[in-house]
Amino acid sequence: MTKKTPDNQKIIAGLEGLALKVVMLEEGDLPGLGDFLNHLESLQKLLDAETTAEAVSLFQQLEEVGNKLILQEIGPAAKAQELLGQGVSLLLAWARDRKFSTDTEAWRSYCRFSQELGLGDTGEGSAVSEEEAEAEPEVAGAPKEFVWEDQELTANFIAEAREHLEGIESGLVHLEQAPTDLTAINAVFRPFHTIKGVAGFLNLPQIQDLSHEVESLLDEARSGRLSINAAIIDLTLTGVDALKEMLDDLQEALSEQRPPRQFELQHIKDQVKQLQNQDEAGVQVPKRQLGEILISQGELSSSDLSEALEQQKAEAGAPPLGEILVKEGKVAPKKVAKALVDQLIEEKGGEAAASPAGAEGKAAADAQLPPTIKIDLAKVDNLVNLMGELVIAQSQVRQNPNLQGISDPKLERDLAQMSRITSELQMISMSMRMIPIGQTLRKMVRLVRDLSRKSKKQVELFIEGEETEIDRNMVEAIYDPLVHLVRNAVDHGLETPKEREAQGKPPTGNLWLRAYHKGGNVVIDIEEDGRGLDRERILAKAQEKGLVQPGEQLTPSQIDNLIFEPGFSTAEKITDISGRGVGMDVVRLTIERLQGKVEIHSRPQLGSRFSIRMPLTLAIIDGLVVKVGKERYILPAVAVRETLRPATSDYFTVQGQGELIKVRSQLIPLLRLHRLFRAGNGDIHPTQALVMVVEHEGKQRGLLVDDILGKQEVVIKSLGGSLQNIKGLAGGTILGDGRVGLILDLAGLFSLGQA
Amino acid sequence: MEKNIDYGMKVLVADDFATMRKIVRNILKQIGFDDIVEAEDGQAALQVLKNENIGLVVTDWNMPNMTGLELLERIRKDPKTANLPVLMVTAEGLKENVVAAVKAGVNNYVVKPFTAEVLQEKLEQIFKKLAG
Repeated sequence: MTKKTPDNQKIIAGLEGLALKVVMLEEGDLPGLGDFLNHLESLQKLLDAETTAEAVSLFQQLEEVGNKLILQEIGPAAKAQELLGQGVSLLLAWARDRKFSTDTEAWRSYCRFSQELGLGDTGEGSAVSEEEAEAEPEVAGAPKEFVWEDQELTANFIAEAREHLEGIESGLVHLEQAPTDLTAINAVFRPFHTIKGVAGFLNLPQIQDLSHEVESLLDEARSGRLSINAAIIDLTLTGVDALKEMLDDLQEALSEQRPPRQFELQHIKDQVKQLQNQDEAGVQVPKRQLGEILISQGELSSSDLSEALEQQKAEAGAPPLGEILVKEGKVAPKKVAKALVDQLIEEKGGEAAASPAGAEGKAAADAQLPPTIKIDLAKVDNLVNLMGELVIAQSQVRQNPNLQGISDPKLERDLAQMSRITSELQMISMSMRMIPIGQTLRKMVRLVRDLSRKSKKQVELFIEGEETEIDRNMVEAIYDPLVHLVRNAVDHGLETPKEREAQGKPPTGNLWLRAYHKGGNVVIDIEEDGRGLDRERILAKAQEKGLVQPGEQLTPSQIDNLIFEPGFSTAEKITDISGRGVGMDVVRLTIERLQGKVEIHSRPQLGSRFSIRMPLTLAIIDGLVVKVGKERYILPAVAVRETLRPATSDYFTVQGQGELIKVRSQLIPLLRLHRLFRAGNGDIHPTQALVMVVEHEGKQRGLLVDDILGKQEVVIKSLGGSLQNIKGLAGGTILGDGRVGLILDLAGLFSLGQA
Repeated sequence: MEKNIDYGMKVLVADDFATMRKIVRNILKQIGFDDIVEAEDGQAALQVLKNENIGLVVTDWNMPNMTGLELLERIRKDPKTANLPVLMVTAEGLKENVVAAVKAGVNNYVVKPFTAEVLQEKLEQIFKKLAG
């Protein structure tokens, strides 16, 4: 009976080696077990079709025992190892005479052992482990008394988990468009997995529980048991939201030293279960199936299709559907090929259109991140402040009259060197507070997705310049205006697919979010290729609201800018998305508070671009240095509209309103800085001085000054102490010669002027 | 019991989550290790392995760029590190991962969350075996 095939020789030799390995196995010897399994696997590959079923199943059972030993799911280990030994001996006996005998003491002993260890005799034992896995999350009940595991670590965890959740949102949107992208699935899966792991250490059962639920859902997608669809993505986003809420609560709980709140998670769990079961029934299919395409092309009847599918199901390892159809003569091979190509195009087309630029950029950025450390923000703020002090102290030293009396070239050089180093140090310390804007921009991904679903518009979002840096303190301030502009872009700017098609545009609208540095500023563009601003309607509305006098001639850009006027809103109906009465004026106000500007570029039918231009940091402003008497003041350059020396005919005094200046046929109240600050000649005639027209919150005032000394970037220093809240002054700065210049606060000035 | 472990050796902890690295670091310190270096993914870990004299690697399974499994495979492939003890940190419910890691030659694994005692026990198993 013995067959002396080369393979059989190999099997025998292999089994002998395997027997030796089993003897050498010690308890908990994972490398040994790994070695054993690898050998077992390579031997299984040598088995041929004639191998008796008993031998095949015995091989499988040995593999299962090996796996269970690794996972510590079988015990006692010594007994399981002995079972392995007996199994290998049985296989060796089989391989030597190619006959599997069940009527031996060895086989009976093996079966007894196997039963004692709780193994079925067909090698089917995985049901047990699955039940175990199901049962595990039940443990995650909340303990009666809450104990913080490690508060510092918990705080770190909150920050890090939030960061990762942001990443998930943009990852999910990408995934929705490319549901088969395994890297994308993994990128979304990983954070939940990690959050779950860390939460387990930090005694946060609810977070652990929730992330486990979402993770298990995504894991099914990862392993291909479930295909990604809108429902899964929605549920994952719900999970993200719930986790964020928990993290918020956790942070509060941490600072208040109270136990975290209890959250209701059952509905999410139920939904997860539902989705998992639904997909098992094959309800959700990501792409059009071959049969579907053939039917839609009229090449196949649905009864033929179901017949072929039946046939495919019946045969284990059956050929693909296309092959069956051709073999049965239902469809010509050419047609099947064409349908397959169509299917591929549909799939690829979806993917190609999907990949948002941001996602790719992020992947590239992930690959090459320089090493970083995390520092408490307060420390950095302190450093930046101290650097400001150092710059001042340094300039005081330089301006010291005694020192200036010394004419020593070496001292000169050393002082110059010192000031160079201090200013460089200041730059570096400022840059430490700068963070990439990417995270803020990525938050818009989720927003755009939700908006486009709500408004039934198709929007593709492109994010550029994620690495652009911005002062940490400005990031939060810029978020709300950005959200507002993005909402407006989707809600008002972009058209519905139907409207777009009617105009010969592709149904999917494009929305670009771009961040870049330009001339010492950070610029954020929000641009879409929608309908553009409707100037006629804006003008009509502005006239109706009395913002524009009838007959007044306005340039297109002036008309566009009317939307920033307080109380202006063109939305014909208030939608759920934008236009809740909070107008664009708030956007402009917020940005101006950040020393920034918003500009509009709009072209009818081609779209609009809103550009937010802001200084790199709030600690530095672009200032105009003006002279008032002997004092020097700094005006924020963004607020200055124009500068003029009025003619006598343009100057009026009106009873009860004080002095007015006529600028371009508009009367503007005049504020005398000389009088407000009691500096210099309070009675100087405006025609002998300069009027700076400044704008704040849509109101204009003329500020009377003696002269403009220049434009300069100045570092804002708080005046500190009792000088901190003086109306009309925002702070102070050190000018080039080391003297203090006061920075004007327009809001304060305007209200002073009214009194 | 402890004679098999040299607590003076340098331990490499690889995990993409900083909090997790800190947790593992704390537990390792608790056990008695003092010299610990961190890496945020497989690539960074390989770099550390090239430059430093590492006596033990504790790596997470799921990391971007290069998973713990790929890292393990690279470690085993390089003759200089082929015998380096590697401990895989994994989570409940990812059994197929554990088996794959063992087949790829991992020395042992721990399931999150784990205690110092569990980790110590696993390390003792590893080093006892290595000592012969």
